[in-house]
Amino acid sequence: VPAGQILPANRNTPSPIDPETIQVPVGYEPDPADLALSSIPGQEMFDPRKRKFSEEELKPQPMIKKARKVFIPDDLKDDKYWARRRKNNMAAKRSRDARRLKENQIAIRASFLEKENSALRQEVADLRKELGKCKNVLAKYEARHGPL
Amino acid sequence: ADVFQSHEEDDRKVRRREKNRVAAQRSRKKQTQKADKLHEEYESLEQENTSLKREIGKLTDEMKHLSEVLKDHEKICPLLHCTMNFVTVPRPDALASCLPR
Repeated sequence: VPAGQILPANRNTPSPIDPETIQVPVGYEPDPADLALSSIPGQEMFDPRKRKFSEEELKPQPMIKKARKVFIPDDLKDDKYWARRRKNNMAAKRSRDARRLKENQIAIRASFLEKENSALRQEVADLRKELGKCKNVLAKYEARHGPL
Repeated sequence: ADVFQSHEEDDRKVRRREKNRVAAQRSRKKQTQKADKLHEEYESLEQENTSLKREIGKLTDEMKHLSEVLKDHEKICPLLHCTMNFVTVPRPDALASCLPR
């Protein structure tokens, strides 16, 4: 096999390498305060390494058409009215909290990915260098003694 | 005089409300823009991440294959196995000593 073409023809098809399985040591320590802001108390702590965000989750939130503010005089503000207001206020708070949580999670994962990508780029550079050295030795050998 | 004052107050209220409305609108817009920018950066990081991992896979594969090829060759390499090759230049006196005196 000549040095310039290390992979034989039958390996030129894309090999089934699953990028998910590739791991590189990443020294990443998220700020515990940030982590706390990104985790729901009752559930597992948010893990930036595992949690991906799909396109669906990233697209901008649909604009809910807000009902026009109709002024309500005090005498019509009965219990039912206040019950409705309370319900809506709680829902609005939940919505805001969820949105804030999601944004925090995305920010942490983005910061983790920056670190990981930097480590991955280093790995690629190291591998290329290593591969270059091997191919060089092989080429020198083959130049003197013909193909392996 | 009272009516004038209350009109003025209403004016002020209306103006204040309008200012607040505009400020709130501006604030919401700023928030969504910030979020959109973050999402864009995040998406690009994910893609880069996947592509780097794929490349690492490819390169490791190539390394493995190459080292296998070299290992296989080691077993049959004429430079390593043929004893004749260890002699660099035949010494003239050695040759001469083979000839009948």
